Amino acid sequence: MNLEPMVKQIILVTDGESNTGGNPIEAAVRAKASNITVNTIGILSQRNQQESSFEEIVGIAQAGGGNYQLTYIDDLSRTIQSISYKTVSTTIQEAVGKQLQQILGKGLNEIPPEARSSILDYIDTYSDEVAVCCCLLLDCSGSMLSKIQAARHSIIDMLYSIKERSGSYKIALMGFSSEADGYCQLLHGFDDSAQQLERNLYKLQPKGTTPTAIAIDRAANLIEAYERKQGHQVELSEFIG
Amino acid sequence: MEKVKLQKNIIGKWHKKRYLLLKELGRGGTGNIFLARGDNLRHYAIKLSKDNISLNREFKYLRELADIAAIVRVYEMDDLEDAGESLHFLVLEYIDGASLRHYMDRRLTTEEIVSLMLVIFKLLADIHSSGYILGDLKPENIMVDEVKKAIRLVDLGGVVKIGETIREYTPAYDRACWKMGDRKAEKTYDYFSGLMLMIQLLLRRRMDPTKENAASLKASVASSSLYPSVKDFILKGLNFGGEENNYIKELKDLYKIVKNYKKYEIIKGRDKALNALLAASIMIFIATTIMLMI
Repeated sequence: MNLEPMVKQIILVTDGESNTGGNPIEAAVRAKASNITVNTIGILSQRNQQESSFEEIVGIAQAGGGNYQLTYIDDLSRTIQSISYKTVSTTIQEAVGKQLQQILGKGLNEIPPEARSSILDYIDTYSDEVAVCCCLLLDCSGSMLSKIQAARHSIIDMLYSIKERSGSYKIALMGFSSEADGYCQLLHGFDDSAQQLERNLYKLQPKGTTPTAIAIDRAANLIEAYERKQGHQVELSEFIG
Repeated sequence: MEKVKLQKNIIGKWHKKRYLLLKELGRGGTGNIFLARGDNLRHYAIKLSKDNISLNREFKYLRELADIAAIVRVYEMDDLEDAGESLHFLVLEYIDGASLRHYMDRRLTTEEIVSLMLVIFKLLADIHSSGYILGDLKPENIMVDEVKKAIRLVDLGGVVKIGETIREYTPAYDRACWKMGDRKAEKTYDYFSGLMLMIQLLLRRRMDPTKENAASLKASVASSSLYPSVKDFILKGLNFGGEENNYIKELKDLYKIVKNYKKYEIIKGRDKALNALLAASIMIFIATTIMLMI
């Protein structure tokens, strides 16, 4: 059994709306109920795109207790890293906040800035050290075709950068598209090597539909299976207390 | 941020200081910056954000590095209750000027650029000797105060301890994006960003690692019309990491050389003018001779 707590997150990368396989907002609610945060990244086209087509992205992130961000494909790597870091620190901040409420009867924001500073400092440091497992969900529908090359680079870049983190960071990658391909394709498992992922990324051929809900459910299952295998049985709030 | 309106006062929840927000100066990744006037009638820059952790980290570093003159002063950190939501703000020194980004399109002389880089490399050396790496060095984060003739680093959001991982970066100044190293927080990471900043100022164009690579960048420096010793400094810097003291010493030497180049250019210019004058007088002489002959 592994007594170390782990932050669990899904990061959905898409350039449009779900068009098959159920309601993604409900899927995000299910993931959140299993303590998995769902974050979303909306890929903007170079042309001026209506932000309204990203309403679903905002909705999924809100339902999944996570953050969302709109970005251009060239900036994907940096966006994934910043959104991932933000979720980790928010998760820890919430856990610490709950504990403070229990011990002091006060939330974090009800402590004067000088005293709060050292608690925030601890959260910041701990955010870099806590174990994280993150499943990246990459939209591989037809519309992503022109962006897939840049997406590959970003994911590889992100993998190398994340290695420098002090705590363990396990990452899985799933591509999702047509029913013909079984909706989701696991391109990289939590325990696979980075070299294997590079090879798999080049096999990726975007085509077909966007079954976002199915993808979120599968990602949540993958994370839970990994967690069982690792024997992570401690929730963050118990650990910090 | 509903309650935050211009020409309205904000009052800190804990320190009870009052500031009148005059105008929005900019929006950054962590928050919005406003020009504000305190009850003492002095101007301040106020950074307002929802992100408690980033703001707190920045406050901590600004305090720890307060001895370095080229870093913006910080006065206090406080909260603001805004329609049930907690916002947090930093009160910073206001710098009346423009960021270095603004100077990219203006014609700065090579001499000015080299002396500016000397100040920036000294600033990096000071940060490094405190045990930190700056991380996100870029022209937007450096303000130029034209009245005081000084520069101020205004964003410490990317600061990390030596040996950690770079947290924030901008592709054009990030050696990993140029495939010239990784994002380990070490001195050479900052030097690389410094060199890229210098190249941008000298070549007066934006650079994009997704559209060009290290080899094409070196080639474009090599084929530019820059002074040979400036080219040598940049190309040498890009080829190997080097030591901080060397950079500062080399920049000092370079400054002297560039200054002399300027004198040389004047002499060269004067020679050109004299030659033109000479050529003109010969032409007139020939013309008058021909006229007289006719």
